[in-house]
Amino acid sequence: MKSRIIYTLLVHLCLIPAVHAQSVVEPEFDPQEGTAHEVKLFGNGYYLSSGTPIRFMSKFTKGGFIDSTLKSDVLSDLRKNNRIGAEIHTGVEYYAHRIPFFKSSGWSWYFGASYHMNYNAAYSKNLFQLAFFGNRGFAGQTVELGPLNANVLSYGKLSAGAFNKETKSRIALSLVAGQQFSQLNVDRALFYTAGNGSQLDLDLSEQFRSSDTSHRTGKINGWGSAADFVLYFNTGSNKSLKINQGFRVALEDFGFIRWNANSITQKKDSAYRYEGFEVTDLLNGINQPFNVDNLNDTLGIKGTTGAQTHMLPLTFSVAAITETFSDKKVQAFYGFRLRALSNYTPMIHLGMQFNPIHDLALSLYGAFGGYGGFRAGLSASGKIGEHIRYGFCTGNIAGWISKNAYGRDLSLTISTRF
Amino acid sequence: MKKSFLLLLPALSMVWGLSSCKRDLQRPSWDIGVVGPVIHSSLGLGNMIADSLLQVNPDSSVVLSFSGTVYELDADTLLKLPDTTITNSFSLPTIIPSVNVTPGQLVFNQTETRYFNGQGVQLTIADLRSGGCYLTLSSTINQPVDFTYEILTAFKSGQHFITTSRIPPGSIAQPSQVVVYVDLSGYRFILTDAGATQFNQYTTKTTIKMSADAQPTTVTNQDVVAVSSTFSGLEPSYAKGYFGSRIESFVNEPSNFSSFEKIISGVLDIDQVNVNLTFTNYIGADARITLQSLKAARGADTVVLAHSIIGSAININRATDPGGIVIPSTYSVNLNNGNSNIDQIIELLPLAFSSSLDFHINPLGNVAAHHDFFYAPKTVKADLNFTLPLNIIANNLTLADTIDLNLERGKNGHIRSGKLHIDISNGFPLAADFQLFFMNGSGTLTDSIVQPNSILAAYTNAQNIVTANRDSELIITVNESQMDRLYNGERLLLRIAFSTSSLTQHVTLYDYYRIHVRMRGDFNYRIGS
Repeated sequence: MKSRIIYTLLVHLCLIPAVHAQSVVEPEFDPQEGTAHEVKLFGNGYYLSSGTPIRFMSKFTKGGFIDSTLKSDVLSDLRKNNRIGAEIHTGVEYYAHRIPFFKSSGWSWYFGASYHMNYNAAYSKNLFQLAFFGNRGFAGQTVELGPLNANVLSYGKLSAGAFNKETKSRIALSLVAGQQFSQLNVDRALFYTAGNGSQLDLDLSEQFRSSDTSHRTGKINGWGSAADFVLYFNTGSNKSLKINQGFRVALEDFGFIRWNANSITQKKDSAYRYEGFEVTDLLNGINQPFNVDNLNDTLGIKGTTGAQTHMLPLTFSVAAITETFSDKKVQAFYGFRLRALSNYTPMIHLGMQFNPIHDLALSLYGAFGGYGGFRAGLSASGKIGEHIRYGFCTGNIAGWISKNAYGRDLSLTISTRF
Repeated sequence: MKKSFLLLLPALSMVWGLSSCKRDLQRPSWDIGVVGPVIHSSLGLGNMIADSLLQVNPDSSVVLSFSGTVYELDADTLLKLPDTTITNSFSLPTIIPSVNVTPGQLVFNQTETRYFNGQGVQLTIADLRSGGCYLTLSSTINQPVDFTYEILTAFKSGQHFITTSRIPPGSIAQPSQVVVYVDLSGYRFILTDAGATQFNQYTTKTTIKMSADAQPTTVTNQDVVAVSSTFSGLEPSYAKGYFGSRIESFVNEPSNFSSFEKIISGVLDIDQVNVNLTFTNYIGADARITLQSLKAARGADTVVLAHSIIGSAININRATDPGGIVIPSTYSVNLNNGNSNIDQIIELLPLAFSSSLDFHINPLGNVAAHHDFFYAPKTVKADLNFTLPLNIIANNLTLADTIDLNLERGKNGHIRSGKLHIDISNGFPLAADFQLFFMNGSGTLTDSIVQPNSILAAYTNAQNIVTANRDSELIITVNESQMDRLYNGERLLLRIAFSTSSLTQHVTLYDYYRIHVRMRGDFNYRIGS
């Protein structure tokens, strides 16, 4: 709760833009002489899935009764294997235009702070059916509940580096404070329900890792470092390419976190049979056989603790970018993004930017991949005077129109220079 | 205007965000259908009946032992200290018209010996477990006085009893009055003198002084200070002395008998019965008891014991108390099929007994020289001690018991409705009809939640010995409304009617017989609240 409030304050007081998993456009200042300081605040949050619509996820996350109709609709839309993801990124960047980076005339200091939360999972249709319909429908059958992969990661970054005042290319090194991570991998989960309910069998191969569970909320459970590289360049009037196009190539979150010695690892590759708890003195009452300890004992699940090192979700993206504030009425942009996340598929996007006036850019684009299928996005960027730029972007227009859409997202950014 | 809007936007967003946090406190919920095993168990006679009540014979047949009290002498009948009121008045002799008194000055002082009305009992010691004394004090003296009351022969922790009260100023026309209650529990009263010639006696001391904050005044011979002491509710935890020699007659003294209270109907035929009627004397005084009648009752049905003990006087020696530990004296009479109709009494499955008897305490007089004793609450009682070989014929022998499930809706989910399938592999030569009823607040049975079904008796041979288990299935169906009633604390009544595999020949129950139970559920479960 406390962390939620802190997060809300951060996001909504900072109103930040984002160039992350969903957003593909960000408003940039044109290079200008005389600028001393530039501050950018950004925030981005999204949820995207391959099969669970907003009307389902809304009830699942915010509360409410999920009725049979809704569950059945979702089940019928699911494929054999499905993906879902949600991320929140917030941060602040400071560009010190007048402080040279080690006497370099074209490069100056850059500082940043950001917070990142990442949730994603890949799951089977059978698992959804078991979780939301129970095992009655599986009576007399053996079903494969796997593969299941679920990840939770949250961390903060304090960054320092250099940026090129002309191109805005930058390189930064970061101190990473790991807050929480959990990782569940189930390779095999064959689940059998006897026809008359007298027996349950589970053939399970799983591995679970987690950061220190004794302090989960707001505590730092690991430290690490990361590097970010963002390169902006323009082909110019390159005759061989026959384009005059700006590009953004980025390698972000290239780093790791070393989680502390209380991190947990559980691994199990066993077959279980459950025929009910044995009660030795039935007539004198049953002393709560259905508690978690008994279940863990029954499954023989025991964890080990020790420090662990995990890579951050590395992102590599290449994008043809536009000139945000331009007299050109129409510009094209496109690109792709790869992320080192097990449930994230390569994402490509292609769009057009329309400038009805010089100080306003409107973009419409399509994207495919990531945690979802095809969706259309919309962004807008503008100026307020000479010192303020703002932008907002949604990577899934349908998410704001229909509750049957498979995701919703919003990116906000505001930057100022003086 | 634009700037104002920009400033307002973060604030609005923050409010939205915080309200989102509030919504996050709600949890999603949905219904699932769960099928699976619940528990399994294996029960023998040792699981159904306390080990202390069972004896296993070399041939593995089982004998059931239990007992119940059919008569117990009331402690008040044996020894009672009646409520006693004593009134004293203090005033100046007529020849002294008046005296001037000063603060703290002693006005009256009196020590006297009093007696409890023993009603034939001569006590030397009495330890009180309850009771006390009401002191009603009045004064006409126009200044406050302090009243001190002492019982010089009542001790607790080595100190005699003493209490002090203040009586406010009064007048001859309107005496002041104070009522004080003093608790005497825990006090030991020494009720005899040094030569052990007096009994039931106690010594008090009354002192009346002018209060320290009183003004100097004149007390005349018209002034009166009155003290009324009422001993009330005195009950000894221990008493010693001579309890007298007297006969108490009791007619149809009722006594509840709980051994068969869970059996509500049916027929039980027992092959052999062995019962001891045992009188136990916990009193340190001889007793002579003449049992005039012993009648067993179940509702309107009654059976009167027929045995030679009826009308015959039996003498029971006094108990002893070496080191303060009571060793009772007992007298037992064996009742069996041959010398009595005790089998009819048992087969009545009695819920109550009534007895008529004459109880003669100290029939030989004060032979212990005032050393009779009594430790409350134990007096004299009569028990029936049953030893029943479990060789029986049961025909719809119906047991009933209430069940408080104390179910709570869990934070993470709860059962909404469903079926509990109970698979039974019965290794006993007993069949059972099983039912569960809801009971409303007034104890009235409403609907049943078990589909009519029976637990079939095991397969037996010609000697009624089990040769193989027999399987049965019971289904308990609970709909949503009934489940809500269970969560709301409504009780259940379990009713099981047993019948032996043979209704014409006695069936022996062996120690190795077992019944295997497996429960599996098919529930509609709600995840979340």
